[in-house]
Amino acid sequence: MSQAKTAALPTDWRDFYALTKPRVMTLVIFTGICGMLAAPGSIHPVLGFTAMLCIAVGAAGSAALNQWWEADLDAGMKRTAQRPIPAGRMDPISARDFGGFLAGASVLIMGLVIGWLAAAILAFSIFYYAWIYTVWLKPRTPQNIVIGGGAGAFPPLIGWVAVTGDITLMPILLFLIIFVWTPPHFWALALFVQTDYANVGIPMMPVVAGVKSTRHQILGYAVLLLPLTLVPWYIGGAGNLYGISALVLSSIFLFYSAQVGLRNAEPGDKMKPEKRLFAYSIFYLFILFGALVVDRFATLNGIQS
Amino acid sequence: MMQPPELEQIRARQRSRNLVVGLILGGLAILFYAVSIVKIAVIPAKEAPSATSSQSPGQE
Repeated sequence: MSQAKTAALPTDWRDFYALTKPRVMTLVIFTGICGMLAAPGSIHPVLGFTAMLCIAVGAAGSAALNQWWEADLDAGMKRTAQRPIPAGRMDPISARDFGGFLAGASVLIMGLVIGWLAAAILAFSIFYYAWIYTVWLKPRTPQNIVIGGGAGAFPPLIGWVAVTGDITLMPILLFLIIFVWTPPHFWALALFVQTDYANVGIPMMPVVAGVKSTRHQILGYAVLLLPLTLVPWYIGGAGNLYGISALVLSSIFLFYSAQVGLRNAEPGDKMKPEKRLFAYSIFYLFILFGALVVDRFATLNGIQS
Repeated sequence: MMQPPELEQIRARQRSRNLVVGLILGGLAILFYAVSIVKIAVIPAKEAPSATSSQSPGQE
């Protein structure tokens, strides 16, 4: 009786909203807007808003498809067991159709309103996240996060291309920065929640390669990130304001990563350095991309040359 | 048979879903209208060399 009642009750709209992973979306929207604002040229605010909406809706669609595919895995992890599908509040088919519709609509509108290059990159990013990452690589390789980072790295690239209409070195650098930032960001998290992934058989780096190797790799990516974030300044794509910000922010990132990378956690450890690195990594990306935008407007208004 | 309280719950869910879908569709209609206006106004500003007849005000 109670089963029939649950099945008959239509899914709450809030569960569809939850399916779009709104928290992840903030970083997608923010880096997308930064890519758009940092690009040379201008875009009409209405078109800029539409482009951002398409990027956000595309990300929402791929998040929904991701949760449709991984519902059985999510059910086995404490962090995700309460998501709409594993908790039984939504029919998987609805989630699949919802995700597919959002993905298709976002690409179509992007193509018609902004341009087909931006739409093609958006379509590829959705395919990349929903298929290459979720279906193909995540269950197969501990490098899943490294490659999956590419999916999160697309928004600033799409935002930039929406303004300029072509791909140059600068948007590719923004892509690479997020790409290299993702592994230390995610592995810091994986170090303090690793048990969950082991239970459902997802090969996360700490489980497969060991905690020590993961720590070293976090440090390795942080070492790579520091010079990479300076390249936009070095090639003249961004000014001194950005260059100094990137140097300071990335140095702190490297410092926190070194604390995580060079230590060994005892059983019962509170994992404070790992939690601090994870929290800082989010702050870091927000401020770094913010600095890029402030830098461009400072240059435009003659505050710096 | 379905109990009235359950039916009420279902109707409440349907109403809130209809409201959200309605708001989204309304928002999209406004957005597409705004995009159309902007597109009509912006194309001549790119000094289109072809014989595109300019319809935007303020454009000679």
